[in-house]
Amino acid sequence: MIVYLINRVGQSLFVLSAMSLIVFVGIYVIGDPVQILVSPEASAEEIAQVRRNLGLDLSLPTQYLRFLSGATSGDLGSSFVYNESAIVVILRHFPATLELALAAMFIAIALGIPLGVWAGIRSETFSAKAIMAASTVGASLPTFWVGLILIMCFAVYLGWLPASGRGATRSVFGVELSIFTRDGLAHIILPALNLALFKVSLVIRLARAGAREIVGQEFIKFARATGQSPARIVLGHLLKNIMIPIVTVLGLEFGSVLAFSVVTERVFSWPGMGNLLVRSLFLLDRPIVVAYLMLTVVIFVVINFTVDVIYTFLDPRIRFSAKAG
Amino acid sequence: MRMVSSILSALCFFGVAGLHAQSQDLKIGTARTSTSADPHFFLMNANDELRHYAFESLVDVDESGDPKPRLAASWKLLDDKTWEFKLRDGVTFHDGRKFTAKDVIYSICRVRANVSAGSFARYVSQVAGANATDPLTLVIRTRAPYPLLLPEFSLWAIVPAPEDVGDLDIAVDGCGVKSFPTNADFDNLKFAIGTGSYAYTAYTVGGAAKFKRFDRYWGERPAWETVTIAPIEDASVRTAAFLAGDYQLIQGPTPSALTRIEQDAKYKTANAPTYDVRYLMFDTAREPSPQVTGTNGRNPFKDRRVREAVSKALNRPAIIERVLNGKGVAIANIQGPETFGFNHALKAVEFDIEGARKLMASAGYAEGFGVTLSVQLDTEASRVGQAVAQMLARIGIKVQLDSLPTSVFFQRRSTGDYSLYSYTVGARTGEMGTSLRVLLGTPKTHPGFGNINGGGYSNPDLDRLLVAAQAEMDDGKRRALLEDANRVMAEDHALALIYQRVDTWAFNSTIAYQPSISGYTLARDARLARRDR
Repeated sequence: MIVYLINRVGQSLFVLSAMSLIVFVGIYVIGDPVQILVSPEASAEEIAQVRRNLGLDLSLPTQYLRFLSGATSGDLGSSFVYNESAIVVILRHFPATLELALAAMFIAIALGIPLGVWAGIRSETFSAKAIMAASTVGASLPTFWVGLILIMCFAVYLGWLPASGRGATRSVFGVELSIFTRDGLAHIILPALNLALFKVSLVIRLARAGAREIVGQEFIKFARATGQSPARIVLGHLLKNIMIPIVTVLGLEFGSVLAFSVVTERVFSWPGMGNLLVRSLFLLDRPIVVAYLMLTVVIFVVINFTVDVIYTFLDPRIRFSAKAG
Repeated sequence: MRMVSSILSALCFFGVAGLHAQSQDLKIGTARTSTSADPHFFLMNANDELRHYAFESLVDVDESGDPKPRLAASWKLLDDKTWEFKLRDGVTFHDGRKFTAKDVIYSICRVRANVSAGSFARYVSQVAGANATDPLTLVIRTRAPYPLLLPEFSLWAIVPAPEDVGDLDIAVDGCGVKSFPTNADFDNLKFAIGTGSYAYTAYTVGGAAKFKRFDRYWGERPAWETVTIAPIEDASVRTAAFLAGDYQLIQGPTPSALTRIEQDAKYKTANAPTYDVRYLMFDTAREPSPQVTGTNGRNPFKDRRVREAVSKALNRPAIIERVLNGKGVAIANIQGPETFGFNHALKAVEFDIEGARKLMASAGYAEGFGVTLSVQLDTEASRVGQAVAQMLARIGIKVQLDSLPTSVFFQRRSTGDYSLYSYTVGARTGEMGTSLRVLLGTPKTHPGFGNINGGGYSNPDLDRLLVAAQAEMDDGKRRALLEDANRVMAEDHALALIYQRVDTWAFNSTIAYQPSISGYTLARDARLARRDR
């Protein structure tokens, strides 16, 4: 386990440094942030001063080495735009994105698993076929388009839900969250639904495939023969055995939802990290972009690791083989 | 995102919005995202828009570019370099403190101490000394005679000086203040305290700002109990949110949804000119010019006749009518009539294709030439660029349009990669001199000259007028100098000015909204329509 962990950390560090180098050079090539940030009225001396303050007067390799030495002590540089530590700026946008991602995952699980299992064990019925058809459509529609349709239907046409922005927040353990207020919930439904749509379809397919495979197996037949209720068979035996692929995929999906909810955040003007990333790209706010992508790598590493741990609980075989190894 | 717009605008026709119950709350959807609630932090439109809610400056600039009193009730010049301001009595900050001259001095110190890329420091750099002769009298000394002091003082906000702050010495770095509150201190609202008619109740970086009416405001009582101003950058999403009833007032609805909004009795629209003027800038410095082809190395734009021909070939009414849906005004000055130094005698160049062809022939380019036109990658710039390309084709100039992302566009302008480019200019000081200096002043000759002069234009006559205007304390004489500078620019066809941009707002017909020239969406410009309760 420890060797495995060390390997993982080593790999991640390599990915992190490669990522930071690529982004660093990439943004350097695109353009000069100072040209965007300073006012047209600024004199040459003022521009030079700004460049010095931001450390942009140094050569690219020097800038990168300075960044690396800062990064080893946890300092990813200060945002050019917000004049604050890039990590602090990103973390301030994090709760909004996190709750959106959690809400979307909740919807994906709550809708996807029951529908998928139903479609798996009653695969010949009309309802099962309808579910599968709907999931195909759900998986193939582009997110931004669905987002706009949701806005038009539920906000503009029906007027039930607000079209954009985040609702009122409430402080929960020092974190401002909006899912605990009525207004906040109303605001989060549409973006979360939009973000969840693809995941729901994915979970339906995984759950159905798993259920179809398991339902024909001996132990289910045996459980049935012992006279257990269908509910107990599904909840106790079937679900447990289809969860591993679902947990793996959901884990990875959760990472991608956290890191790349950009489109949904743009469409719903959600003040999260994705929106921040887009704005920072436009302003060439390199510290934010670099820190954001490094954070993304960290998120994926942590999630992968967590998924591995969850496996061991779900599947005793993995647990025992890990012990043996 | 263009695809987004077209889908949404198509769908908008089917939208039916429920009118929400009207109250004393105003919800505004704006096109810009702010970076801080700190009015001294970063000079950009979105932050400046918020500044107008919670904060005030010593003076304002009115619709004709003249300064008018705000926190300063009056002022006079004691000599060329000494200004005496009488401050308004009975002004209170949101936390109850009384406004005095010390707050102004403290604000100057804090503005100076800010070293961010968007610093306001240049607007107080002329201040050599500041003394309070009594709590409501402030004497400012400038380094040199400086006529732009008032317009520049209209750009930065007054924040309260802490009670325990000692003597402020403007000559010392940082005025002897140990530490100033940071922009983060403003964002968490601890220090976001001003004298404005609305006080902050909530602010999220990248999200909405919320205000409530400040009941002890010294001036006219604000019309709204609370105001929310939320950024929605995409126009089609903003329009949908408006139609959904999330906002009563939005800036810049999508042009395609405009017809439907205008025809619906539930909504109204209003237009106001902005400070932004779009122009074509020529490379007049180099020979050969990097992006010109088919001239055997000659740079055609060095010839005034070619520049005039380009200007004459532009059918401005057609561009405004068809490309901008009427949201523009043809213009002959570098800034609009609300700017100090506007020359009313100048008329926008008339569309005259025959005249343009003759000029091309007399300059020796009857066969035309090829050139790349670089524009910023946004819908308006690209569409105008396309129209310009077609119009110039009629006088033999084969234009290749190059739309560049903002970051790249600026980078290449600063390195002088362009032979022909289009961009906008807009001066926050409300004074012609600013735009003329930065855009057409000969670069590096005087401070601030030609900072964004991407074509290397240089005209000694123009420079002389601008230098003179910069030091002329008499308003009448300065106005004449600036009017003359505009004339020199126009006669030399230094630029092909295309149009002054007009902004549109959409709002529920239950409110009345009269936008101001600033281009900002301000709650003080909106009130409940009379027929509503």
